[in-house]
Amino acid sequence: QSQTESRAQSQGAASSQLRAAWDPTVSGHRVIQRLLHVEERYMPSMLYITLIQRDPERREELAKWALEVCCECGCDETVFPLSVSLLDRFLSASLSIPVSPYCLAAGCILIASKLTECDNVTADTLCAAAEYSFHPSNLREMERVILATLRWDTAAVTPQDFLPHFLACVEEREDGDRSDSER
Amino acid sequence: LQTPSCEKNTSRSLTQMENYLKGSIIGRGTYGIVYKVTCLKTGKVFALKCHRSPVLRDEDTEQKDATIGVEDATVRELSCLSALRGHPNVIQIHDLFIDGENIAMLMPYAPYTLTVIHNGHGLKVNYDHGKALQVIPLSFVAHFSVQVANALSYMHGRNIIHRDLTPRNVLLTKDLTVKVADMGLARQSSKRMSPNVVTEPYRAPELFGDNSPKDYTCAIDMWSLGVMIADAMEGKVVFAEREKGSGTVSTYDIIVKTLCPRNHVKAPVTSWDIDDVMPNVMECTLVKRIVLQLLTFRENERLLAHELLQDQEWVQAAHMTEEDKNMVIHQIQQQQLRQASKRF
Repeated sequence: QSQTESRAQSQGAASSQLRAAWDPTVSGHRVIQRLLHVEERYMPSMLYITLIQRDPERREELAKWALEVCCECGCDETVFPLSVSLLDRFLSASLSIPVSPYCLAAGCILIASKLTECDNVTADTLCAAAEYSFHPSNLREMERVILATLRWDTAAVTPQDFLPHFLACVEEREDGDRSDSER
Repeated sequence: LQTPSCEKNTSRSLTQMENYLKGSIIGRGTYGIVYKVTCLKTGKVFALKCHRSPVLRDEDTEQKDATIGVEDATVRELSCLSALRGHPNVIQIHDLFIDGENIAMLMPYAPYTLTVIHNGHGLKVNYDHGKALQVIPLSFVAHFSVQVANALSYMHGRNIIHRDLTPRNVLLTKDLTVKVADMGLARQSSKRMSPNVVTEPYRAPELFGDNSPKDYTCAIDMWSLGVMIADAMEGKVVFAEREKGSGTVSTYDIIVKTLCPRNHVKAPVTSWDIDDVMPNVMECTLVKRIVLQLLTFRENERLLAHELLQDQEWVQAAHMTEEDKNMVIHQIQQQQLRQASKRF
């Protein structure tokens, strides 16, 4: 019983410590604030969001396909969220789905992979994943169209940018817990 | 529902490119060549960075050409530059040309780079010799490092790491304003990148070792900045590999011998006296304090860019008088003359 008591006590101490850990000068609070601010730059347009909410299946289908391809190719965890962000921003700017939507999704994966991985996905792999519904040359052209449409501003902020900072806060908290129970 | 075409874009860019007259080569980077170009309409001078096409870089051309498309280096650099657009110490892009497989960036022309700090003399030469030699004033060392730190603090706050900070990539305008150029890109989240980043003498100790992909942080840029300050003080590349006794001592060995703490697993058997490696740095209390905080062997102990900018003493030392500026510019021009005469 005394054990549970002490644990309850240490938890109480930890929650008071959590507040201390969120001190903006100590934790990554400042960085998180800035990332939130930068993230706004890479948001899809309001009009696009309104349109997509009326008929969300098409986007969902493309996003699911992108997730499958990223998993099959063993892409880095950042590639998928970045490619969906590129997809949304491209569609925000053009407001029309190209003849081959899979070619668009593949182009987004290709760019996201080039941005974040040292061994990037090849165009051939992506063509194969789409069951050769488009040629590598189509994909290359699509890549350029996406880059030109987004004015090369492709390094969007994704959830993965925030995670290390959140995790750092959790680690601080755990350390606090441990030192408390030792006491 | 139409497939957008890039044809139109390409042809427009091509006609624009005809408005520029290609001049001499002013730089060769890892990813391409930089030309000095003149606008035929306005007579203004620019720098044109041509990314080498994959065709030229790879042996099995046709195959690669079909699968690669736009170079990843190009995608990274351009996305990085557009994310940092508007910062006074980061190079800006005026225009972009696409010509077949080649992509060229039009940027402002910066007449100088920080390479002046090597072949130039360190801070103390004038005391050693009887006659007065032109030297780099301390204010310039503080000035460029504060401006580089300014750019780095902005980049690091956006989770972008430069990854190849060397004197060659730190450009200087006519009035000696720093413009950081040639960036790679890594968001912190995409950590496992190849360790072969950063030109060797400016590479942080945690990046040496086997070729396996490594996690690294923005602290690698801070190391490079520390080395550049030390270089400027000594007037040479302090961590360049050198001949000593019977063999060569590599950059990494020099770093370990001079800066690895005794309680570290990699601690060397015999260490070197840091006073011999960078005497001018060690003699000036202020510079010593800054450099030793940047050149810490453990990356988590290294000073961050925004912390360096909070150092009042260093920021105050960065104020350059007109006389200081003229001295540096004169020094750079002398050196450019010497280099030009060597070529002929």
